[in-house]
Amino acid sequence: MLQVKKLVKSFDGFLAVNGAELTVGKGQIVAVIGPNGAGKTTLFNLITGHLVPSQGTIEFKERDITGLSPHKICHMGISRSFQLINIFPKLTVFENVQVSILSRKRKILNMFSPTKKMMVEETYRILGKVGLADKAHSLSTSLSYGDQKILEMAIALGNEPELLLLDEPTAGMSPEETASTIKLIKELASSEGLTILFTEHDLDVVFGIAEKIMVMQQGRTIAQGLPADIKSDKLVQAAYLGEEC
Amino acid sequence: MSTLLGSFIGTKKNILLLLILAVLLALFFIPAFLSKYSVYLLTVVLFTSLLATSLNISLGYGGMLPLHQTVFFGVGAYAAALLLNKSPLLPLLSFLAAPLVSAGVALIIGAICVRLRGLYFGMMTLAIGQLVWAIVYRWYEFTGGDDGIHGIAVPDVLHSISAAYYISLIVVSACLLIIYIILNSPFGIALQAVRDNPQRCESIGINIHRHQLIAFVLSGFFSGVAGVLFVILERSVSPSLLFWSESAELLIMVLLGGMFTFMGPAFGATVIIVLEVFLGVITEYWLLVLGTVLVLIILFLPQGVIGFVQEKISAGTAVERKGADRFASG
Ligand SMILES: Nc1ncnc2c1ncn2[C@@H]1O[C@H](COP(=O)(O)OP(=O)(O)OP(=O)(O)O)[C@@H](O)[C@H]1O
Ligand SMILES: [Mg+2]
Repeated sequence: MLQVKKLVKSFDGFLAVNGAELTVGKGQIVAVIGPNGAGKTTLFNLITGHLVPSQGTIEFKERDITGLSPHKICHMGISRSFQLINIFPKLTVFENVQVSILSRKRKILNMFSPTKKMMVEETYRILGKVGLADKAHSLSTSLSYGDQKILEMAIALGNEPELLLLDEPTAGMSPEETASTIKLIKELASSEGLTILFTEHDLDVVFGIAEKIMVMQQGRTIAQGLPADIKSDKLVQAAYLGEEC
Repeated sequence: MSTLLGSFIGTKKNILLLLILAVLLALFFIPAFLSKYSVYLLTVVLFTSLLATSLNISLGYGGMLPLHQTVFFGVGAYAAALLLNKSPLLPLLSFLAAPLVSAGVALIIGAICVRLRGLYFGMMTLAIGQLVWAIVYRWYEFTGGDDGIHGIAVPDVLHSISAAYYISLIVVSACLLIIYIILNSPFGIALQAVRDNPQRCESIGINIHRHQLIAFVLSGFFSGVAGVLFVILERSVSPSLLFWSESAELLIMVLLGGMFTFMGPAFGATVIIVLEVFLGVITEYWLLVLGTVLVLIILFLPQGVIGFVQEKISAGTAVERKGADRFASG
């Protein structure tokens, strides 16, 4: 479904991504791991169009999406959450998700219907799924940190993506929140038929849900494969797991 | 109207609606009790309120910084004047076409500026706006240059001040209602989302530049409508309408009333015009007065008067806030 080939991103000569390779199959849950600064977030930004690659190609469903603008890529079926909380601070929880659904349904240029009555059911369906329905009418920034992370994901779900990118979905969460978020991600993957690509520092989380793992180091893909193979990969152990475990 | 009636639920909404009705009724009957000059002033207040509200579409709701909004007002006025005087179009069509000319100019300026952020956007709109002013100022054969255009062929029925007043009342009310509906539509909500978090908007599939450009064009259009009302009232135009200082005054009106509120700009326009009239005798000091007002707002009321009042109301009732930028959110 997603094919990243020989991807390079240079920031004034500094190669944040330097030959990343990634294949994601339909319905898979794939993790990208690597130490701080390995280029995981940059890779995500390249896939979603927030950054334009210096070299290499990105294909999504057999179509070349390299260098397309983020809103076009979104409408093709890729949606994402951000590592740092990135929501609409002046809108309510409900409206945060609603605006995403409106965009997906291409109702965003409608000027004459009151927004209040639009996509109400759809919005509550998603809020219900992620467990935020009872907080629908709170201001988004009044939520706890963990709930804001979940809202971050709910906004992405509003786009009804085929491929969902989650950049460190549990970072900063308490162990309980982390556990329930992992459960949620698994549920979503099966109930919504989502393909999920995520990054995560917590290796328990990674090995708990990933069906495939890609390891990055200094912008390079140093391994890609089944969790079991990654665990036993010498290169990976030396470069990454060694220092963390 | 049905959209307004549709949301006729909360009692606070009811009170607000009654208030609006009362104001409209008062505005309808008040000319009978006022001098001609006062009715004239009220007309100026009406179309300036529309002008300020139209600026706020891109400023407060769109997060853009248009430093030269009165260009669209001036272009609308000139377009109406030229169409009435020089084209075979029926007057009504001229009145309708003029705001479209403003929208067209806004489309061109917006297309150039919309990719720029913040102050760069502002400086570019200012520069291009002054260019438009220079063209109007210099092009004697077409625009009358610095003489402007006098004796514009406004239909006779509109020559009385009270006719201009009632036309303005109807048109301004209708336009404010339309703007209100637009700002609460999906387009308007997305516009505010673009203002608050453009990056996030892109990643949920919103074309932020197109969205802001459309808002900018709408704002130019409604400024053009205000320009037409000006022509109906004054029957003359001059290049000073497009001079940058007019835009500065307009910005102060919006800031005074509160740019994250719907009614703030209209309120600010009213206050500034009233101030100008009462202090008008000493015109050299007018800029000084405006400057003082600006400093006072920045120091004491950064959210504007209406913004301040709304904050107090919502703090008083302590219901969950629905975003400080909503009309009557309290
Ligand atoms: N816009 C930018 N300009 C310059 N350098 C950048 C930019 N964005 C990222 N970098 C650099 O690229 C490298 C990779 O950053 P990136 O955020 O992709 O890492 P990451 O793997 O997501 O790290 P973390 O685990 O800390 O989130 C870092 O050294 C970072 O400083
Ligand atoms: Mg990162």
